[in-house]
Amino acid sequence: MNAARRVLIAAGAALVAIGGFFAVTSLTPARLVWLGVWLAGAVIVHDGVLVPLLALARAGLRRRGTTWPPLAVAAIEVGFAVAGTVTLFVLPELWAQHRGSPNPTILQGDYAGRLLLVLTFVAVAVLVVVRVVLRGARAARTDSGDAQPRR
Amino acid sequence: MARRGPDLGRRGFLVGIGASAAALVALTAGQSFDALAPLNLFAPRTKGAGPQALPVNRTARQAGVTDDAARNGWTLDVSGPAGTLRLSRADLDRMPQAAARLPIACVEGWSTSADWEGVRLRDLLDRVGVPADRTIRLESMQTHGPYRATTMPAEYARDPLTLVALRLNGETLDLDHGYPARIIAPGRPGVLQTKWLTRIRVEA
Repeated sequence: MNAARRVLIAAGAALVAIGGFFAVTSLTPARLVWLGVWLAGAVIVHDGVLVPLLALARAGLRRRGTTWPPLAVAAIEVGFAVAGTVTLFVLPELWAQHRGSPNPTILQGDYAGRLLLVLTFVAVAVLVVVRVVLRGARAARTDSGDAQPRR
Repeated sequence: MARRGPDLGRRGFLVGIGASAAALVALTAGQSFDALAPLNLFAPRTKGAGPQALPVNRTARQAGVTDDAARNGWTLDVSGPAGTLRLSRADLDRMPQAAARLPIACVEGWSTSADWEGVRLRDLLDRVGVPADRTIRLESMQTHGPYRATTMPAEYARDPLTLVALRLNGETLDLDHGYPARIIAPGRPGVLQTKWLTRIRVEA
């Protein structure tokens, strides 16, 4: 283990300790319980929703039989993480908007439309990266004498 | 770059976490930071969206304050060792006025600065002889909500920027912003900026 990693681990542990100290000293027991519920909710959403979706996506990629360059896979998975996080943030807003609020200065946006826009943007960005990577890989194969005709 | 097959790898994983966090911050923090306001697609609040270009945390209707109650017979009672002043909105308008540019920084996560005008709180406290080191109690005419009454330590009450605000961004306070009068003080969370102020006294 190198020094940089040790420093990072120490800094992370110190932050956790400080946070824990202030949580215990400044929050009432009832609030601490709700904090636990909230943190557990994050784990449930991550392990119960995001990870299964990602596993399905990976299985889909494998079924296509192609061996994808690692960079292309990374781009797809990073895109998935961004899209999933943003969607998880927006879904409760859509629910609250549907339920209605007596306060007209809150939740005024067209969040569904904007979410669609952002998801489209992420998808296009991922497709562009994947295409560039695949083209680069194909060119490298051709250069190294692989018998593959170039278009 | 991950070179270990189909796995995302540690670096890819960190890039994914970083990109997700950056995207979410970029698309929501504009409800508090001017620089990111044009990118604010998903935050529940929008800078400048609300009466007099300021969002509202709790409307008059939610707080159980009616237009009629705020306009007819409203007074602000200020009590101290020298007695009680009963001030109408017109009385407050006639007193020396001060201005401050201060934010409503809401614990819900949004923040917007505004120009406030009104009477300095310390001037009112001096008129009824409240000693400079006393914590004071502010009461609202609102009937619902946990912040009907709040206490304010002396360092805030005596700050020259702390106002009993009567006007906001050049206009008479909107009912949803606390008409006839509200407190605005620097460095306090939005829920403690008592609206529909009706009583100021020394904390027992």
